[in-house]
Amino acid sequence: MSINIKNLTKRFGGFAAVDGIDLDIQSGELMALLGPSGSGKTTLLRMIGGLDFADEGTLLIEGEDATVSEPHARRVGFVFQHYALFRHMSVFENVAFGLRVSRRKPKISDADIRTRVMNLLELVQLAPLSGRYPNQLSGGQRQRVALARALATEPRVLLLDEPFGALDAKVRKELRRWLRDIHKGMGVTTVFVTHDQEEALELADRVAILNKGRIEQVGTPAEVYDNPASAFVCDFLGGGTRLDCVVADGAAVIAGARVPVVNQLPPPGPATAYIRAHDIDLAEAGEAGTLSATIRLIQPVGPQLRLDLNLDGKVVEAVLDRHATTTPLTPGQTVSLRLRRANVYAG
Amino acid sequence: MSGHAPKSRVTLAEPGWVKALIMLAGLGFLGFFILLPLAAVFTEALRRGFGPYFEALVEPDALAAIKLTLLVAVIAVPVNVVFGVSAAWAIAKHKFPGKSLLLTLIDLPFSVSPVISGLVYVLLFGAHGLMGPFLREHGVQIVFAVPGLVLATMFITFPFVARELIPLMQAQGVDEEEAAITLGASGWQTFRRVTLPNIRWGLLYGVLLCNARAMGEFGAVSVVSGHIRGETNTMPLHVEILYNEYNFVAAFAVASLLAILALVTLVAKSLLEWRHGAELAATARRH
Repeated sequence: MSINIKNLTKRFGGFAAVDGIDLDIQSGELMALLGPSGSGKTTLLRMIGGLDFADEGTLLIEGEDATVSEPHARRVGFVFQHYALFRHMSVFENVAFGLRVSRRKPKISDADIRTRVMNLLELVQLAPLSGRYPNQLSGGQRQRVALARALATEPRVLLLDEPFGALDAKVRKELRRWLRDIHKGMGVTTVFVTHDQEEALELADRVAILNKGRIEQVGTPAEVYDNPASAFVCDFLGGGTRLDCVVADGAAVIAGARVPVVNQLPPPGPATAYIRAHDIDLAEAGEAGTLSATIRLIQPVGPQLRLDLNLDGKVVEAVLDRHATTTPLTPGQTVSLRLRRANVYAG
Repeated sequence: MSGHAPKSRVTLAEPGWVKALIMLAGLGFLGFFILLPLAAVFTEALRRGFGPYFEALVEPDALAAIKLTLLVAVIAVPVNVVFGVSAAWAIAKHKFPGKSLLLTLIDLPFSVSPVISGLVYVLLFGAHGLMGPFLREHGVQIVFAVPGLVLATMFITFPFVARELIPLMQAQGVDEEEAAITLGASGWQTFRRVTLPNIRWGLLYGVLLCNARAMGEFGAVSVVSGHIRGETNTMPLHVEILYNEYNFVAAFAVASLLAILALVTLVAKSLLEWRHGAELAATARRH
C-alpha cells in the first residue's frame, strides 16, 4: 500500500530529528532509509509506524490520513532492531500475540490462530522450534520470529528498524536474501532502516538517503550509486578518496592530470573530487594524464589487491583485481596511477 | 554472574590466619547481633514450656493484636502494590515533567523518622489537628483507630514495591510494550500481557519486603495507635505493652511470631533470589 509523506517534521526539544521530509513510497515497494546515526531515519520509520507522532506535516497510508492515528488503526507490522520478542512467551505465543489481541469481530478462533501461526513459522523455517523461548534462540532465529510476528496480523506495510544490525556477516547475508524472497512472495510494501550502504543497495528497490533530518536523494540503487546528488551521498555510498581539484574545460584537474567527471559538472574553479577505489588503475610510467604515487601498504583480500598509496601526502585507496595484476608490487615503490572517473562537487 | 572465579584470583589470597580472623570477626558479629537475639526470643518465649506459650498467643488481647496486624497488612500491602506498580510504570516507561520529584517523594518514607510520619497524621486528623473538627462533625475517627494505623503503615511501606520495580522496568526498556502496541494491543492488554508478566518476580519480592515491614512497623503506628488494648494494638505494640508489664513470656511469645514472619520472609526472599536471580539482579544487591 502506498505511503505519502509530506513535510513531516519531528522535534525533540529544540532539535529537529526529522526536518520537513517529503517521500512517496509506492505500493509493494521495498524501500531503504539509509543514513548515519542521528540522521532521523529511525524517527521517520517510527512515525510511519505510529510510535512517534509528527509535529508538522502529513502522512498518508493508502490515501488515508494516518498522521495522528493509533498504531493498531494503521495496520503496520514493525520489526525492532533488538527484536523485542516477548521474553515470557514461547515462539508460538509471540507470533500469535497480534491475533489474540485483535479487535476484529468476530474473534479469531483458536484453531484459526494455530493454523495461521504454524503457516508463518513454516515460512520462516522455525516450525520445529515453536515451543522454545526467545532466550533459547540464536540472533538470526529471533529476528525471523520477530518477522513472523509482524506478518501475523497481515499488515499493509512492513517496517523494519536496522533488521540485521545485530547479526554476524554470514547470517546477515542469508537473512537479506530471505527477506527479499518473502517480500517478493507477499508483495507487502516494506520500509527498512539501515546505516549499511551495501545492505541498502543490495536489498532495496529504491533508497532514500537521509542526513540531519532531511532527504539528500531518493533513487534506485544504481541511480544513487552512479550519480550521487551531493558530496554527502557520494561520501556515504563509499565515495572513496577525497581530493582537491580544479574544474576546467569540462573535466576535473587533479595535480595536473585531467580526470573525466561522471556527475553534473560544477562551475569552473576549485572543487572536491571523490575517487572510488575501483576507479584507479596502474599505468605505464610517464604516460600522459597519470599521477605518480608511492605504495604504502599492500593487502591481498580474497580476489582483490588493496593498496594504500601516498599521493602528494594524501592517502589514496585503490582496489585492483589480484589475478589481473601481473607487475610485482612492493611497499615503497613508486607507481603511476590513472584515475578513470571522479564525482566532483563544488567547494 | 559467572560462577567461575578466574584462576588469577588465587594470587590475591591472604595468609590463612588472616582469612580465619576475618571470618571469625564476621561470624562473631553475625552471631552476637542476629543469632543470639533470635535464640533469646525463642528461649524466653518457651521458658515455661509450650503451655504458657500458646496461652499467651490465644489470649483475647493477643488474638486481637494478631487480627489487627493482619487486617492492616491486608489493606496496606495491596494498596501499595497498586501504587508501586503505577508509579514504577510511570517513572520507568514514560517521560514527564516532575519525574525526578516523584522519585524523590517515593524515597521520603525512607528518609523520615517513622515517629514523625505518625505524628503528621495526628497533626492532620487528630482531635486538635487541621481536619479534626471536620472529622468529628461527621463522626469519622482516624487517629487512635484502625484507619490511622492503616494510613501510617501505608506511608511507611509505600517505597518498597516501587523501589523494587523501577530499576527492573528501566532495565527492561519499552521495546516489548511498543511491539505489543504495533501488534494492535490496547494499553491495558499491553500492561496485562507484557509488562506485568515481565515484572512478576520482582513484584513478589517487593510484596514480601513490604509485607514484612507492614506487619513489623512500630514507630509510626505507635504514635497513631493510642495503645487501646484489644482495639488499636498491633503485634509490635502488644509486645511492648506486655514487656513493660514484666510479662516476659507473653511478650516474647508474640515477638516469636514476628520473628517467624521474618524467617519465612527471609527464606522466601532467598528462594526468589536463587530461582529468579537474573530478573532481580538489577536490585537484589541493595537489600
